[in-house]
Amino acid sequence: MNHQDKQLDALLRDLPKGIKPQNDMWRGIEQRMDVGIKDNTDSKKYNWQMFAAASLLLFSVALSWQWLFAPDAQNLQANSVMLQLIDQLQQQHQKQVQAYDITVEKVEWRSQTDLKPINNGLKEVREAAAQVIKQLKSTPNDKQLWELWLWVQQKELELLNQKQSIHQLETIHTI
Amino acid sequence: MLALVEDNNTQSIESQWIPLAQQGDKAAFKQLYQQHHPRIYALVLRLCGCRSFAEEITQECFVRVWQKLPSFRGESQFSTWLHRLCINQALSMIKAQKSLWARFLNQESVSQESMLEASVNDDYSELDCLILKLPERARQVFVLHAVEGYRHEEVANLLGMATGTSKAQFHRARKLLKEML
Repeated sequence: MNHQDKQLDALLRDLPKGIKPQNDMWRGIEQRMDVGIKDNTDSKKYNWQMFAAASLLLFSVALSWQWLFAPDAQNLQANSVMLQLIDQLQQQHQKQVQAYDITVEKVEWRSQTDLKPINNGLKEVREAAAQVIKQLKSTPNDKQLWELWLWVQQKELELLNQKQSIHQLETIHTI
Repeated sequence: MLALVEDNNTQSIESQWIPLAQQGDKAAFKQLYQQHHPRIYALVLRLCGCRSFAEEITQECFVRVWQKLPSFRGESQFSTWLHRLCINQALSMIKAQKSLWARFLNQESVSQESMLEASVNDDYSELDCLILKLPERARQVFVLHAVEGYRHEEVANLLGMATGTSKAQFHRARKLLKEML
């Protein structure tokens, strides 16, 4: 141990345990003693206020979610129902169309009448129907599209009906 | 021998003040403050290195002691309980203040403040003047280990560092102090 080590150890031994502060701190402490307890009360009050504010915020968020997002969820559910309805109606319509086609095929009918306008009409109506269905599936709540689709379906059935009527008439004439 | 008798007398008187202070007797608490504040102030000053901040911390420490006093069960000596509570409070405030200062001042200017504090104050002992010139971490380790008698494991726990770091900082502090002698 060198001289500096000994000197340092000696200074450490003589180091005063306490130091007198330059300013009187008691007055500040005494004031804070009441404030400190009051602070605790305020803190509890503040905590309650924070709790109440947080609860209110959560309630507001929940309410907002209900208003903003829940309708979306409901809409999604409603949309899903509408899409199912579109598919069902499309399937029913296809069955009706197939029923016409089967009738025509069964009798192996070969018309002498020019059916080109009807067939062109059917082609156009079916293309239109495909476009309307595509659009309707993306906006299933569009009332005008629904009306258009039903009208196109009706037109297709009318054209098929005309086609069948011509066949029946020709059959009668043949007999 | 005389010091031991004085200590016993102090503890005897203290044991009367403590229950009164626990019940909200400010006069009794003032007696406890008068008894202990120089020691706490010295500890805090050596830890933080700034007189005005040391006074602020010491005030806060005694306010905390006042608030926590009802929870003192006498399982340890009052001075030990008080000491530990004040160290935790002081280190917590130093840490908070350090992060606040760091936003406005660089570390060098804070260190210079401590050195200025040490150089202009004649009330401090020679070693206190040197301690205040030490870098913050080295100073805190030196104060807690060499002055307050905490083991390196305890110092490391208090300062949130590894035990090896505490030992290294202590040796660094001693080296710097010897160079300054």
